[in-house]
Amino acid sequence: MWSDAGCTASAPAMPPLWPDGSAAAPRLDLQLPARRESLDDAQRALSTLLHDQRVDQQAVYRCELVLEELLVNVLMHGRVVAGDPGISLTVEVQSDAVQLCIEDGGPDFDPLTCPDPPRATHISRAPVGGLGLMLVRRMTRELRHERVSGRNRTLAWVSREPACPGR
Amino acid sequence: MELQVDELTPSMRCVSLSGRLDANGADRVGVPFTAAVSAPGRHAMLDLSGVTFLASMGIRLLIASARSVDARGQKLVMFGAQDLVKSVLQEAAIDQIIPLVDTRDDALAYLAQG
Repeated sequence: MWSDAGCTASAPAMPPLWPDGSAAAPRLDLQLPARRESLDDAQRALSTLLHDQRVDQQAVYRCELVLEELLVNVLMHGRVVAGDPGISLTVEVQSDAVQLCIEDGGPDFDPLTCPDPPRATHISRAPVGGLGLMLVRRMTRELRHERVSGRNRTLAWVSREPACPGR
Repeated sequence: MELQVDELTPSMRCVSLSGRLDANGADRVGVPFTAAVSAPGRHAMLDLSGVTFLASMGIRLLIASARSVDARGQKLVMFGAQDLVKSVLQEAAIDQIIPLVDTRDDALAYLAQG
């Protein structure tokens, strides 16, 4: 896919163009080491892109939350091995949604298979695990998982509608 | 993520958080926050008005601290959450197990109940 890296547009505000002249969706592509410091780096890059593209504040929050939860899950359950390229993050701002794609080299893990934690009726029985992926499912319009060449690939679409909770 | 503690009375304190309560934020304030909220002999009100972002690791910290408070037979109430933070608390049903009210006065009134 043609990314901003090859863009030769002269004005920064112009969207990059596909070879046929149509406008490509604004995007970012990052390679991140699999460590906690990458959370802040990824959020800063995401925030800059979304604010530049004038994405609604509520949709920005949902995107940041989805990114946070998916990255934290990778960092908590993944593993760092020699030669692993780390985490790949791609974000594309489409007309009606923001697409996030996260790839990692951890063990095969499909976030769609994790059930929501049981709803607690008292603080003494409140779950501490599973909330992150539950929030991802609540905040996204669509969520997909693939295993590609030994790496996990999670794609999430967050609606740009301000009031819609991603669905 | 910043933490501030104000002693309102000998038996009541207000703990204020400001910034992003995400994984890194929860790491930074986790230990002092739990200690401040669950101090023996004190009820606590948690001012969330300065929290700009809440994620699951922040929620986990709130739950762990609230459990400590409950285990001591003390009270904890949250107030002042911004709309987006409040909606995350509601999506995760945390407002059903840790009281969440709108204002500081509402929180004082809650703690004043028998």
